[in-house]
Amino acid sequence: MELTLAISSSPIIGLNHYLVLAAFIFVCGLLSMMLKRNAIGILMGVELILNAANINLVAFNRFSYAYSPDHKPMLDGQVFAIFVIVLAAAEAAVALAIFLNYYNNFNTIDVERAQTLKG
Amino acid sequence: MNIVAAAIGRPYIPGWTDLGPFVAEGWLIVTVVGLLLAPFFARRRNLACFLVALAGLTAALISLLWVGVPAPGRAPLRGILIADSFALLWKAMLIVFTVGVLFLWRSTTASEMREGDGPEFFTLLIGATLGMSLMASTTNLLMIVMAVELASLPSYVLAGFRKTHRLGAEASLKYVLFGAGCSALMIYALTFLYGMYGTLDLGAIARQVQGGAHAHPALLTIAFFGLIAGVGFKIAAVPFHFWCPDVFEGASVEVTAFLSVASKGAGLVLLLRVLMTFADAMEYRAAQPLVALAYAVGILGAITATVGNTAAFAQNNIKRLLAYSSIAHAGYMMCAVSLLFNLNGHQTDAASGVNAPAQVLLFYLTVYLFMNLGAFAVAALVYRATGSEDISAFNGLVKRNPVLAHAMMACMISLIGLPPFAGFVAKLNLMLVLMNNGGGWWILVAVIAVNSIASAFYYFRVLRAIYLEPAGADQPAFAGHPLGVALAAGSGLALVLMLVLASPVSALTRHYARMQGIGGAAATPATKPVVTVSAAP
Repeated sequence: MELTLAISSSPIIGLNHYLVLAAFIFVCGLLSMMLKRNAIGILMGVELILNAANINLVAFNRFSYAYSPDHKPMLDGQVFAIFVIVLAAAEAAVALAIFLNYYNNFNTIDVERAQTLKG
Repeated sequence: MNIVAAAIGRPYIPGWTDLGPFVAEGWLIVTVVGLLLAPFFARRRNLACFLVALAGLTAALISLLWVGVPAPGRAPLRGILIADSFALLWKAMLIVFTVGVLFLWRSTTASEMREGDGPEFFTLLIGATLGMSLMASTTNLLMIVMAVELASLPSYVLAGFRKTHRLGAEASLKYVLFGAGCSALMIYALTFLYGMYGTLDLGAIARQVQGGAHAHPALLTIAFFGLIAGVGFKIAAVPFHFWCPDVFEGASVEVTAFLSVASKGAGLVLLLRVLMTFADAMEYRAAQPLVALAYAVGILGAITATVGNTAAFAQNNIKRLLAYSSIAHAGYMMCAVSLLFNLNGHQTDAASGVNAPAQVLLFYLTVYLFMNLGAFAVAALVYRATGSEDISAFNGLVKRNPVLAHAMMACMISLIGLPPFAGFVAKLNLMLVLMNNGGGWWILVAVIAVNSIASAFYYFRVLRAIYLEPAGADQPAFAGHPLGVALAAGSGLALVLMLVLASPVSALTRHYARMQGIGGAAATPATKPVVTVSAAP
C-alpha cells in the first residue's frame, strides 16, 4: 500500500510516460519483426510488442481504471497482462520448437531462404 | 488491506448454471487428458488415441445438443463466455467436421505416422478444436485473445507435424512467424480499447462508443485494425493471407482440411459476433465508426475473393489450388459479415431475434464444410494412390475410381456455386440477402458473381483432368481406403441432399441464427460515464 501511494503522489511520472515508453518498445518490436532475417530475431520482436502491450495494460489499469465508481479496486488490466505473459511464454516454446525443426531440415533459420514453397 | 484480496472479494465458484452450457468444452478438456493417459494402457497407441478422440468428440456433441441453450437474459460466467444458439450450431458443425478429419486421418496418414506420435497429434487437434469452439462464444477481449491463441498454437505445430518433411517444416515456420506477429499486433491494439473505455467487455465498450465517450478516432481505428489483423489472420483475409497457400501445401492433408474449414469458420464466427455486438449498440445513421467498419469488411471481403480466385489460376498443386479457393470462399463469407446494418436499422429482426448475416454465414459454413471435406478426402486418397499432389494425378480418375471422381465433381461444381449441388443455394442465399439489404451492397453481389464465373475456369481444370484426360500408363485403377471413399461419397451425397432439402436446412440455420445480447432493440445510450477515478480511497 505504501508503494502504491508513493507512485500516485509522484507528480512527474504519469500515464503518458508509460504510453510513450510502450509505443517506443512497440516500434522497436515492429522494426525487428520487419527487418530481421533471423527467425529468432523476429520472435524477439514479437515478444517486444507483447511487452509493450503489457506496459499499456498495467499503466491504463493503474492510472485510469484502478477503482470502480463505487471505489472498489479493479484489476482487469493487470490480469490481462498476466495472461499475456503466460501466452508469450507458450508462444516462445512452440516457436522455438518449430525453429529447431526447421533448422534440422534446412541447416539455417534465415527466413529469406525459406523459399521452397511459393507461387 | 490487500488490493488483490479487495478486488477479488468473495471467491467466485461457478456452479452448474454457469458451467452447464459449456459442458461440451468440458468434454474436450477431458478428452485431452484422456489422450495423454491413453498410451499408458494400450499397445497400439495411435489407434487407441484415435478411438479416445472419437469417443470424446461424440460425447461432446451429444452433451452439446442435450444441454442446449440456456434461457436468454442471464449471462453465465459473469459474461465472460456466451452460450447462445448461434454458438451452439457452430460448435456442433465444428465437432462433426473434426470427426470427419479424424476419419480422414484414419484413411490416409494413419499408416505413415510413427507409432507413439498419435497422442501428441490428437492432443493438438482436440486442443485447437477447443480454442475454435471458445472463439464462437465470447465478446470479452481477454477471452478473445486466449481463444484465438488456443486455436493458433496447436495449429502451428500441426502444420509441421511430419518432422522429417521439409515442406512441413517450412510451412510451420511461416505459419508461426506470421501468426505470432498478427496476434501480437492484435493484443497491442486491443489494449487501447481497454485504455479508452476501462472494460474488457465489448458490449459495454460498444455502448460507450455509441454514447460518444472518449471516442478518439485514431485510437479506435488502431484498435479495430488490430482486431481485424488478428482475426483476419485466422480467416486468411487478404493482407494477412500469405501463410495460407504455403501452410496448406506443406501440412499433411487432414491438417489442411481442418485448417481450411475449422480455423476459417471460427475466425468468421468470431468476427461476426464482435462486429454485430458493435452494430447492435449503435444507432446506424449516426454511427460513423459502424459505417466505416461495414465498408472496410466488405471491401476486404471483395478483395480477398478476387485475389484468391486470381491466384488460383496458376496453381498445379491441388492443395494449393484448394488453399486459394478457400481464401476466395472466406472472402464471400466476409461479404456476409459486412452486413452490419441495413437501411431500416438493425440486422436483427426484433420480433424473432433472427440475425440475417448470422443466418447467411451459418448456411454457407454448413455447405462449405462438406464441399471442402469431400474435396480434401478425394485429394488425399489420390495422393495416397499416386504419390503426387499435382492436378495431373487426377487424369482419368473417372475410369480409375468412379466413386471418387463423381464425389470430386460434386464438390467442384458446388464450390463454383452451380446447381445441382448445395453450393448453389448457399451462394444464392448470400447474394439475395446482400441484394435485399439495399445501400451499396449490390456492388458486392456483382463482385461475387464475376468471381464465381472466373473461378469456374480453375475448378473445371480439375474436372477436365478427371473426365477428359486419359490416364497415364503409370496411373492404374485403385480402390482407396474404404473409410476415405465413404467420407468423399458421403460429402458428395450431402451436397445433393442439402440442395433437395434446402428449405429445411435454411429453416434450421434461421432457427439457430440468434445471438445472445444482440436483439435488434433500440440502442441504449451510455448511462455510465467513463471511469477516471484514480485517487486513493
